[in-house]
This record gives sequence, C-alpha cells and structure tokens, in this order.
Amino acid sequence: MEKTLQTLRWYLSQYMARLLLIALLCAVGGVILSDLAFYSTGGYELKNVVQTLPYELIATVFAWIAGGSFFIPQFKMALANGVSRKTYLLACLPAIAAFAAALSIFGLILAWVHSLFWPAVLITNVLYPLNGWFGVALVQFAAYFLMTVFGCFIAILMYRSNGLARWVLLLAPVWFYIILVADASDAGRVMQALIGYLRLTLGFVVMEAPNPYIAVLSLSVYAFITSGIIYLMMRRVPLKME
Amino acid sequence: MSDIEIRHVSKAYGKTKALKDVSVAITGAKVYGLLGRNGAGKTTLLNILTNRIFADSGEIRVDGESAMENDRAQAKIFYMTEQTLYPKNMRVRNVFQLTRGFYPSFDLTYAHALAERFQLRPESRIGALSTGYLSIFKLILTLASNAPVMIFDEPVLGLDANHRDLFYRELLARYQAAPNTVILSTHLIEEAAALLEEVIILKEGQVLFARPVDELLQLAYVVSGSQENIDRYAKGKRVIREEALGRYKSITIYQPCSSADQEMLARLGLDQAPARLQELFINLTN
Amino acid sequence: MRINIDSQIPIFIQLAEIVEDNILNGIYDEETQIPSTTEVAVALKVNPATINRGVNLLVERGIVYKKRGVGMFVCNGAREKIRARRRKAFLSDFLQPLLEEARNLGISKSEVIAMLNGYNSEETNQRRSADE
Repeated sequence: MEKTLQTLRWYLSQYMARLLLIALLCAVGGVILSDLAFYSTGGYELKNVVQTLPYELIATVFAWIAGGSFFIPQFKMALANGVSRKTYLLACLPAIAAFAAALSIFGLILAWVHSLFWPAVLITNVLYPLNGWFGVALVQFAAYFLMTVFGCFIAILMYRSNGLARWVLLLAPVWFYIILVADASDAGRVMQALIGYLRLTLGFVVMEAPNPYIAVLSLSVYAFITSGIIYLMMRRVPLKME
Repeated sequence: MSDIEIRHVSKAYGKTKALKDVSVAITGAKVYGLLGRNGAGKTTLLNILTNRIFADSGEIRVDGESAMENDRAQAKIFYMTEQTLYPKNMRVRNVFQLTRGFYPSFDLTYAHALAERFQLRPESRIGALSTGYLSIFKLILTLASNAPVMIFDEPVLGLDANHRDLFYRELLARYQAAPNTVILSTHLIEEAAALLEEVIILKEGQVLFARPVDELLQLAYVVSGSQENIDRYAKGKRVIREEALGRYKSITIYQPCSSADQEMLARLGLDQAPARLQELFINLTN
Repeated sequence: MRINIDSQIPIFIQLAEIVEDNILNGIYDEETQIPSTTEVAVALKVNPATINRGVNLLVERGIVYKKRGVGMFVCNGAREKIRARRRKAFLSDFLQPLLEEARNLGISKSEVIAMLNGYNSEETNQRRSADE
C-alpha cells in the first residue's frame, strides 16, 4: 500500500512540477511586464523607487487553476489503477503542499534577484510587517495551499454537478456582482460585514499592526475545512465520463 | 489468482434497476466469460467490483476482504475499461512506467514487446490513438499487469482480424505462463467461446447462469430432420429455438437428452448435435 | 492443425483425433515429444483446460504419456493402438454413413460393391497430387 501512495505522490509531484513551470514562466512574464509599464510611465529616474511585484497575484490565480485542472483527471487515472479515493486524497495533499512551497520559495528568489538591479518588494511584505524571509514564505505558502485546495474543491463541485448546476457555478462571479450591486443600494451592509470578517481572519484587527500569523492560521483552517469537504464529496463519488 | 465473491449486489440508476440482487462467485485461475446483452448489467457489475461506482446494497469480497475502497483488494485487480481514464497528453510509454508503480508485477519488457507486435508506438499520446489502438493500448496494459485478476471489457473493440487473433493467442499464452483469474466481458461470443472455461450470463440485471461451459452446453441440444418427425419428437419438450426450411426443421431443446430420447431420435431418424454457446445465449437472453 | 468450433464433435475429441492422425501419418513418431498444452492452446486459441481434456483422453487410450517436467511423448506402440481402435470404429464411422447415403440416393448395395471394386485409388491419388 505504501508503494501505491509513493507512486501516486511521485506522479502527482511530477505533474504539478509541470504546472509549476508554467506558473513560474507566467509570473516572471507578469513581473517583467509590470516593470516595463512602470519604467515607461515613470522613466528611469524611478529606478530607486521600490517596485511592488505582482508575483503573488499571478501565483495565487495559478494555484487555483492548477488545483482545478489536475484534480479530476488524476482522480480518474488513480481509479484506473485501483487506488481508493481516500488514498488518492492523501497523496494529493502533500503534492499540493510541495507545489505551494515551491511557488512561495520562488517568490522570495524572484524578489531577491529583482532587487539586485531594481529595489523590489512582495505584496506580502507590503501587507504585513515582516522582517525575516520565513514569515513571508509562510504567508504565501498558506495562501497558495488554500487556493490550490480550493481549485480542487471547485473541480469536484463541477464534477458532481449536472448541466444546470454547472452553469449556476460557472456564473458565480455574476451572482457575486449582483449581490454587491444589490448590497450597494442597501447601504453596503453585506460588503461591510465581509470586509470586517476578512480583516479579522487575515490579521488586520489593528490596522496599523497587522498580524500575519493570524492570517496563516485562518488560511490553514480554511484549507483544512475545504479538504474535509472535498473528502466528503469524494467518498462515494462515482466515475463519470464526460 | 484470486477469489471474488459477489453477494446480493443491487444497483439502480434512477428507476432503472441495473443489477438486481446479483450473487455469484468467481474462483481460481480460470477464464470466465461474462456474457449478456447490451444493458444486462455486465459493465455495472465490473464497475462496482473495481470501485468505479458503488452498489446500492450488497457487497463484494476479494480473497475474503471487502473490495470497497480497499487498496489491497483493488491492487489484485486490473480492469480494462471501455473508457480511457488516462490524461490525453500522456504518452503510452509513460503510462507503462506509471502502471508498474501501482502494479509491481507489471512486466515492462513484455508490455513493450507487445506494443511492438501490435504496432503501437510507445511515443504516441493517448489522445491521438484511434479506437482500435486505444483498445490495443488498454489490453496491453491489462495483459502486462500480471494482476491476479485481469478483467477485459470488450477487449477487441475496433480491432482488425489479425489483431484479434494476436490478442486471443497472447491471452492464452499469458494465462498459461502465470495462471490468473481472467474475466472476459464480450458480446463476440462465437470468437471467445473456445477460450472460456466458465460462463456467467446476465440478463436484465440478474444472473441467468454461472457454471462451466461444458455443463451449460449439456443443458441443451439441437435436433434436425423432417418436420413431422421433429414435431413428434418435440412434443412435451422445452423448445427454445425453431427453424424451418421447407420440410426440414431444426430445433434446440432445452433439457438434457435422456436415453429414452436417444432411442426415439434413432427411431425417427433425426440428427442430434450439441448446442452452441452463441445459439444458446441468444435464445436464453431473448 | 485446425479445430472446427461449429462442429458437432467436442473440441477436445477433435484435438485427440488430430494428434492421432499426426501419429498415424508419422508426423509424431513413437517416443518423440508432442507439442505442449501451452503451445497447442495458443495455436488453436482454445482454453488450456479443454486441451488437457483432449490430452487426458489420449493418455487414457494409451497413446501418449506425460513425463513430469518435460512434456508429453507418444507411447511405444501408439500407432498400432490407434489403428486397432479405428479399425473397430471403421464400420460405424465410415461404412454406416456410406451405406445410409447410398440408400438415400437409391444406390443398391451391389452397386456400391461394384463401385468399390472399380475404384482405382492410385489414379485418385495422382489426381490429388496434381491438384496440389
């Protein structure tokens, strides 16, 4: 059984490594683009101004896409090889963790390389007062891990839905927008509550001294809960062919 | 080889009952034929056995332990599905490699040798394979898996005559080299008949038969001759097939031929022949 | 070797007959090895259990014997045994159908005998080899 788990982990890591490569290329591309934009608008005189890198935004979106794209195809592959759903999920989590760790470490490297010729800072640094590299890596890791798991969640949700429910899900941004518009006409109470909640869980209780470790904790708890929901949704899911 | 025990398995899709209280045992190193018309529940049963889907009730045991969500039990089974469950951009070669990780008994050298004999390029991507080559790819995986239970669901789908022939030969050679439990689910009964040792016939989600081919064939026989004599002979007997060509008539009788029957056959000058599996199957599942 | 799956004769008996034919023809000599169950099963695409039944039939008849771990060999005197058994069966297997067919066609027994007397087997053999 150990062998199955090992094989699956090895294979998933390989697969995630490919996704990682694409993510990193895009992130580097995004950073270069933002540099160019900054350079062309501000001119070379701005070369001593600290650049905020868009790396985390791109990486977060990629983490989400990665989770959404690998989860179901690899699940089918695992089923073809007699792997139980539980074992599959157990193999996925470490692979996702490795993926998130690689993304966050690369963020640090990118920022360091970038600052060699142009001062740069990561968004995490802007948001939280962090001194060592470890804290920055940890916040990023928690965020990427959650986003990848969340991608998996969306994937299994889509997989379990029939045609109509899928459309409802796909149009989620639209529903969200409608809610916001409706809310705006109602003094934005929902929005206020949402912001309040986010401030609380992301460690911004005191605006002047945000606490990154509260964010790490909340993100981890979300990831844990999402994983649990995924397991429940997976437990008796039949194989479906599209 | 492994022993599989299917106990009271039922499965419904909405209002359609795909399997109704199916109980059957598959034991030891034999070649089983799982036969049934389209929609009889063959694939549903195999899918439940291999955890692709779940039964509504009942259970399946592999060597005494439950097969459901059990990695150890599932590791003993390699199931060639009609669907392709591998990512489309994966290469044949990589799937071979990967399968060996899951099935330590997978024979990589043999898989490559087979690929060469079937002219399947290991560099091909799964998504680029034609129906026939997809079947070939999957049957190579199954043959090379060396799993104690090898299940083939419509293995020769889209294969030309040469490749079908090659498959049946390889299957037998493999089976003899390492006797495993082989389950062939097919509707090409005529082709596979001589390969089978046991048959399980499903009809409308129920087991119609589960016994050795020989026993099944002894349950019926074909009689032919002149119409009057045939009619005289058939009186009071269970006839499952009738075919008349002018005054010539041929019938299949579904009951053993007693010695009194033998005498009567001789007296009436009728010809007797054993029933064929295909024929019996068609008439029983109609 | 060819097996007729549609035949009225069970496969394992057909198989035994084929092996016997080959022994009679001298293709398999006495005290020489005959193909293994595996080889035969693969060649004929027939379940090995069926092949084994055919082999067992031959063992029962004293035509072949098994050497453990080596394979199957033709018994000493197998050819004679086959001949003796087939000679006994000649009447029911060949003469009876011949006479039945003759009766169906309205050929009398004496006509059949006349045919047999006039039948030149050498000429037929020559014609057959010319065909091949």
